[in-house]
Amino acid sequence: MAQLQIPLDKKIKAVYLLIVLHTMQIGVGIAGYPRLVYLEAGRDSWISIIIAAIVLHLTIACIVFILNTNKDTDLHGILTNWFGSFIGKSITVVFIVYFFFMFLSVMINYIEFVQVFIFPQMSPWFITAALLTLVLYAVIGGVRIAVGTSIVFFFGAIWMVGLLYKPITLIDIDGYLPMFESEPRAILEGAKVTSFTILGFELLWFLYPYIHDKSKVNRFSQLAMAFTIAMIFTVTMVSIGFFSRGQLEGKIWPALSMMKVISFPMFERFDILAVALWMIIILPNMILLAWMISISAKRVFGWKQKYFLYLLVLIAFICQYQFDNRYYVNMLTDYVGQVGLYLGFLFPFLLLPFAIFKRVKGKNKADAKN
Amino acid sequence: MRKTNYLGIIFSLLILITSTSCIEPNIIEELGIVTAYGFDQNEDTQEIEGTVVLYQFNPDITDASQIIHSDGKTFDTIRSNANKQSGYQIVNGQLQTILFGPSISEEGIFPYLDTIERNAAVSDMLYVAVADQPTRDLMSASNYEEAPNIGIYLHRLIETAVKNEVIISSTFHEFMRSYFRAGLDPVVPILTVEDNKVEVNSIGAMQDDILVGTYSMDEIFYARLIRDRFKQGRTELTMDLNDFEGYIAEYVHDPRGDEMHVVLDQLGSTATIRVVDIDALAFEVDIKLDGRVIELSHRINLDEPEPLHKMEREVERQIEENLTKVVEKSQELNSDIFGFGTKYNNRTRGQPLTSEEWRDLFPNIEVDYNVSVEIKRFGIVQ
Repeated sequence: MAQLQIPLDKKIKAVYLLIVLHTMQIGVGIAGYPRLVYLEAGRDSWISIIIAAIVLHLTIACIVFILNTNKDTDLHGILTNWFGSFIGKSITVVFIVYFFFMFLSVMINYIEFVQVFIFPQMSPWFITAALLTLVLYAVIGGVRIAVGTSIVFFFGAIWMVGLLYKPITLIDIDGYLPMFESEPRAILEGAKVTSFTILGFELLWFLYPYIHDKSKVNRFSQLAMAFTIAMIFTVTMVSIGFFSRGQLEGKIWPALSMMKVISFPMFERFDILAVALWMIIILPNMILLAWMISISAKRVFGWKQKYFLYLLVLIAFICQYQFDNRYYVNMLTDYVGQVGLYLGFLFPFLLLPFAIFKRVKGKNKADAKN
Repeated sequence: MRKTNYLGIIFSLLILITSTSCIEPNIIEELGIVTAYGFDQNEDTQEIEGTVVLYQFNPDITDASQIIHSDGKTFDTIRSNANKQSGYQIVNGQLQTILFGPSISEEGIFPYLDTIERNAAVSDMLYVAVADQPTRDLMSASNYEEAPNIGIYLHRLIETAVKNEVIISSTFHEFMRSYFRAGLDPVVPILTVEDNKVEVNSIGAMQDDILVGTYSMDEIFYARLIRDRFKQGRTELTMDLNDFEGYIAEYVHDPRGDEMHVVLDQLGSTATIRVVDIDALAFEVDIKLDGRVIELSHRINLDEPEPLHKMEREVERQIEENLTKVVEKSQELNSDIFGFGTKYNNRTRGQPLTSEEWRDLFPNIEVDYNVSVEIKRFGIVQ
């Protein structure tokens, strides 16, 4: 069955996409992103972000166009409809594997934050267990719980943007000058780095059938993208002004290092709390990814979603032991980003001709009937 | 209605409580919290001699501070060697000041700062300062007011000076930012001991991370005028009494002769450095200053526009004169603490300035000053 019949009480409103897609995109990546883009594009990183933003908006428009061509189904359904069961299943499995590594990358990156900033001796299995328990809880509850927790966590974390106020007061305008110095090639490299950070919108492929008012999907997903771009733009610009060149190039997580200057009389070292709170930022990531993985696996293999979820948690728990130094963590993160570039940005455009073809054919048929 | 799952709740709580043992405990009574480090280099062994000021949070101890001396080749070895002499576990989380003795500040302090940047436990808001004598001697000064120990006193001392806009702030973050920015050199406060009490004596101009010269407290005002901005600064100027002939009230007799002393406070300032000619290395500094007169050694009727303007022009002239002196001094030291190089770099697109290039250019720059002073108020007398 390619079409999904989803009862109304399991559907969500399109407006939630605004938050869900945004939380999917913002995760561990943003902590290290300002440095990565600065290494490529230097002070002109903002141009890179704008280029990436244009590509992102086009990609979303493309995805929504394809999804709208086939009502009420997800990526797996579309592929099965168009190319048959075998190709449909294979490509979905590729996505599942990709999401799994993304899941793993989010988790081990966060573990590294905690170990570097707060508890160097804390065993990774402990924090993994804590995170995975919450993921299990949210995903077992179904799509509404998964989306609901993401929204709660979003509001639990968004206020941290206000903390940028202190670094903003310490900005040195000279950090931005001279402008337009980077070569076009460097700027494009910067845009590529940016695209790794804003991955996560692939969620739309799988969440689409669960959306109640589909006519608004495009509007709210585009808004979510704009929101994400605004966020990474702000964080990057503040980092560039706040740090000087050598500093920014040396900091692995500029966004967290910026928190080191925030201090309140009752709370001297705010960066410690920021790292702890970062858990709230990454949990929606993990929950939604786990939901996507388990629901897609169910669609492909036909067993209960629960079983896949348990399997996912188990494998993630075991895999976490393999990544206990910076080198491997980096390597995994890089590979996931590279693959994401193709699966996230290129893939929708590959499907686009087929969607146009289907629409034209559908229209011809309708015309012929009349 | 669903039944409440009590077993589940109890189980979760149990996990919550027991899992706290999965992370290492840091019991505050068992920690020796470092508030300040002092570093000197031993000329013979080339090792660093560290002075570690410890502090304990324990209500039972009356004298909760101690100073430990330990040696090592690196920052962290000094910490761990200091631990050999203490029953407390020594931690860096509350570090507020690091102090370098002359033997290190003349060689370069950057190598000792790496761990502070690398170690996430250390705050970026600690102060970097230089002592004009071995830190071991300086930190044994016994008079530190009501502060719990010399480390906290040092921090308060520098913080008060920064807040009062007497010196230029040099937190670790600011130091590193200037250090890494081509065409801008860091400044550090210089501490000295007077009557067994530490005081801020001057500020040091660095060439990258090497101390090359000092500015006295009077000169700092002018250096700060260009580098930073004032919100509530103060300064004292001396003027020639003969210039104000005719405006001086007759009844004042000052034995100090022909000089008139003027104190301005609540000074607010903004400074802009502009590059006028990039090839001729010509710069222009615009400074806008406003403030009020808080003390005059001779009574002058400032309510009339003429003496007031005369005084403003005189203040402008003197500030310009002093700015010239301070900038010339920095050119002699070849330490650009004002950021002329950054402005120069902003204009040369496509060829990033390096520190070395700027060292060659900086002594040759020409600077013009446009100072405009506005005296807004003059207290509650005319």
